[in-house]
Amino acid sequence: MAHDIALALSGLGVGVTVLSCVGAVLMRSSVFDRMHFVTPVTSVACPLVAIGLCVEEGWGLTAALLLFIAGLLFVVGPVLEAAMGRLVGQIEEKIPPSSPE
Amino acid sequence: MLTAVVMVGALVPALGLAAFGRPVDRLIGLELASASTIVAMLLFIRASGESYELIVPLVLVALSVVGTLVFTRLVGRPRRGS
Repeated sequence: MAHDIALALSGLGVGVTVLSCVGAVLMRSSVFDRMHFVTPVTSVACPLVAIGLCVEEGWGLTAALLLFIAGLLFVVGPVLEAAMGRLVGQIEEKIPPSSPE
Repeated sequence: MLTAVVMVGALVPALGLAAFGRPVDRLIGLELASASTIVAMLLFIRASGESYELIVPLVLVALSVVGTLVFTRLVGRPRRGS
């Protein structure tokens, strides 16, 4: 049962990653739209895979490290998105180059 | 192991995005490739059974954050002489 749950969670995470990568390539309308395809990987796919591997592995130091890596990526993903959004805004001259300094 | 192999397949479009196009699009591709590589590494390390190798994706998270932030500063910087 645990193996099936782990397989389902990992498969779901991999599916989200594949769809995000393909979607980012196919999205040609705007950089802002393309930028949003990174978030599902950092905020959904990686935690799903990590939880799936924890279910398979059982609770312990390895599971803690897996969750820590997923948590770290979960936290820094939006930070990188904000930095990218600021960069795109500067290039498209929607915000001043010195913003937000 | 199958999921890890599929993840490597997902890396191909991300690396393609990182290799061609405008600098901003390539930076998005780099960010996508980094996140996908971390997920793929988690799966490969689970398949190999060597849990001490988890230090590699942990360091990759830190390096990808710093690298992406540095690139956003460099790409956004006005070119010299303009």
